[in-house]
Amino acid sequence: MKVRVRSFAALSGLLGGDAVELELPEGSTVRDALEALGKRFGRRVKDVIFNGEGRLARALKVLVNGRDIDFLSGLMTTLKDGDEVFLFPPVGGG
Amino acid sequence: MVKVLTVDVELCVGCERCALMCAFNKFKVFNPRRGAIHVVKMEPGIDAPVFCTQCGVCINVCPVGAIYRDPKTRVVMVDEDRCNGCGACVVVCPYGAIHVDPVTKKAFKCTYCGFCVKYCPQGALKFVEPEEALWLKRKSMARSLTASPTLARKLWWRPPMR
Amino acid sequence: MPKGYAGKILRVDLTSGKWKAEELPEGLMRDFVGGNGFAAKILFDELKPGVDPLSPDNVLIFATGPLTGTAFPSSGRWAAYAKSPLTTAVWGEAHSGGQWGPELKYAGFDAIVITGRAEKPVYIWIEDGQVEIRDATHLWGKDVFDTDEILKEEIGDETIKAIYIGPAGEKLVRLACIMDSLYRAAGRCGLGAVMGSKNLKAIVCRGSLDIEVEKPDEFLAVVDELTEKMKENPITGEGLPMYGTDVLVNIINAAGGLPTFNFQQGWHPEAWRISGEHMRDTILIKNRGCRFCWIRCARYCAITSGPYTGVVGEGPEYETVWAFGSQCGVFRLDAIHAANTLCNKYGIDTISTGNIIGWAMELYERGILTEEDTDGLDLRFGNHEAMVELVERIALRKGKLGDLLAEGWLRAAEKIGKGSERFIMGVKGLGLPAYSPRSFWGHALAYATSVRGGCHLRAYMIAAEVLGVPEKLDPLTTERKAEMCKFFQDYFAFVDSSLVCKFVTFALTPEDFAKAMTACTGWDWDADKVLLTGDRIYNLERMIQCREGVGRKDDTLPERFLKEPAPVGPAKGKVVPLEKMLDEYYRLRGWDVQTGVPLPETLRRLGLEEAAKVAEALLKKS
Repeated sequence: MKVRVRSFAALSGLLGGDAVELELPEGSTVRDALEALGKRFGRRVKDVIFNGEGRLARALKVLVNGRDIDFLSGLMTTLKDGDEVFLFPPVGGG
Repeated sequence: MVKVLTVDVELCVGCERCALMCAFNKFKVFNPRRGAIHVVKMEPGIDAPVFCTQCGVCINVCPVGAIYRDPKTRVVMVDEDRCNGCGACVVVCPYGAIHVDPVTKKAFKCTYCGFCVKYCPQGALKFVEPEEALWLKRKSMARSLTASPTLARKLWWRPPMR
Repeated sequence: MPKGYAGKILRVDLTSGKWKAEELPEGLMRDFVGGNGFAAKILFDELKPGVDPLSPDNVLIFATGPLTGTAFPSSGRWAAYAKSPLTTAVWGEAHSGGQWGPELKYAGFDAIVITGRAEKPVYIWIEDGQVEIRDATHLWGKDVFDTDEILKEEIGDETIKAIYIGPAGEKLVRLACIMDSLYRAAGRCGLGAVMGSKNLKAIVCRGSLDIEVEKPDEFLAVVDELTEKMKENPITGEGLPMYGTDVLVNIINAAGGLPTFNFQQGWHPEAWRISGEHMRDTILIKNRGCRFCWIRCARYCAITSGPYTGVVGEGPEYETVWAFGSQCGVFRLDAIHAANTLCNKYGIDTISTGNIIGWAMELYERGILTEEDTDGLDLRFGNHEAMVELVERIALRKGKLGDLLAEGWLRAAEKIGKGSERFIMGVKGLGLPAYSPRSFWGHALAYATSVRGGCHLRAYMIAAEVLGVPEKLDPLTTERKAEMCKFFQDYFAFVDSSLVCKFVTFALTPEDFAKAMTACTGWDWDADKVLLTGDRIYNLERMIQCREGVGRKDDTLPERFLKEPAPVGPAKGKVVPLEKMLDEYYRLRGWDVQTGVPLPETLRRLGLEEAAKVAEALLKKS
């Protein structure tokens, strides 16, 4: 199945600019997708996404189809074909 | 250990925190006008801090010998015990960087205390090695000699929208 | 006399042309701090209920707080208060960044209270405790940019700081704002029209007096600690300076909450064209900051190609990008920046103007407004030329539609009829800003309960529901929303009274404010006292509107969000369960659940005896 990943704000350049398409096996989770990114782009991206203990970096926000994964099933959230995964650093405004 | 205070004007946003903290360090009050660094803010979009370049023109003009150059740091300093607030230094300073403080009635100028560097949120102000400072000084001079707010206003600022 | 304050209130009566300086009463400083607190106390005591906001009887207040103009991060702000000519909320309030706030304090005053009306246009000159009311007839009719240039030349000093109204305020446009120098605005609630109704064109300050704090070394240590926190915080330390507030477009759109086509939906595929990332890649020149700001989130943009070439200036902010962007179906930054610059030039609120144009567009597309009604403007969503043209017509009351919309949504809807009021996206007559209620239920509660009307700043619930500050709450549940809403309202009431920029709260806590206030004033502040004081101030503001009949019936949302399910996005199929959250909110606040009026025992607990008596009378009646 195909899943699209994009990164924003201060992470804009992280994945080389535009959306990245990932080809993943059916039933893959958000963790699988993020690890696939780490494999494709190397240390630079891996270190932003995961902290030392292999958990999601505290400052990183991950949305699946607009919903924060904290309100789905976290990193174990299952993905389906056509899902959009967005990565945001903390942002704020008025 | 000789270092030079420099500014990269491209980074200045005109927030005046430098002036606020300079005056606070010296006089322990909040009043940016009493600082030894002065932020020029003009439209369209001009933001630049002006401060003493330690050129030393004021040294010889002081009638009571209150201004001297520190031999180690090369910084030009005012001896407040000798200063009588006559303002001769203010007349000759090419940068408007020295002034007589309205409360103490003594001449006040930049002493390289470093507060402005520490408190600039943009990192526009820095102490650098003299070699490194060359390009920044030249850029600042070129800008001040050639940048014309009036020209910029005429070119940009009365937009041909309506 | 505690330090931090200039120590004086300036009272000006424009009818008689007389002014006097009053000592700041200690009780006012101790219990109400500054800013919102001062205004709440003074308006409660001195604003008579039932007054016409555009009459000489309205009381117009400008205020700062004890932290304004000190080294506290981002302390360069001020606010204006009066009975609003635009809303039914009575309480009118608008804050601004820029330059002027600290200068008022350096010129000797913490606040100005203005009554009456001048016979001819005037401006107020304030320098180191001395005040003059000067003739401004030669400035009347000039836009903000020209007024600034003329005044600086005739005074012979480019370092003066001033606030202005533009032609919109002069013409009593109810969306008019008050401008700080050229680009900053106290935008909301139509306070520019109040200033215009008093024939007051500008207030100019030049200050060289000192502001002191009680314990300078301790204060500096606190400032250093707080600045570290702000540097390390990714929002204040990186996101905002790099991308400005417009950094929100992509995330709010992704969350399905970017109001599009007058709030008909909350998402659009073209939203990226108006995002902060795209701004940085195209029209951004540099960032800028208000006076003494640590964050410097302002943008400075220039349009160098296309039909809007030549537009240069600060902005646009997220709210403005939304208002002239997705709200109107426009997805081009150049048109947005042009509309933004016109608003600055004429002195009119960007949020309200964009919102009302989006409303007019929906009415046009539904056939409720015809081409005859719009003076020939093709007001389909997306027509950026019509949008920019309409901004000028509203600001200058040009044409039938311009003059009509200049009256605000409620009065315009009355004239238009045909069910147009159903499509007003506002609360208490104040147009909603850039977050869709159906996607953020806590924020929806904030809109409904904010004292000045549909406002996102009294309780910025987005912080919790999107950003996870101070903790993450699911935007599509009702759990803990009332509790968080009250916390933010109380905390921000204090921030708005100490009068610094709210954005510091992304990194700083009530505890941090307490430390700074203690070192500044010499009085003992702690986090509980900060929140209690905020609670007191919020309740007093609430009583000012309750005594004129505002209550639960007004704490509501447009029907669209209560009855029509969201069509797309994560909130698809959902409406806002407001009543449940409102019941819980009133209970937490200690307000009567039926009427929304603060209970007398709540007011007494907060030390508001006079207000308690008013509440008793109101509750007896109902």
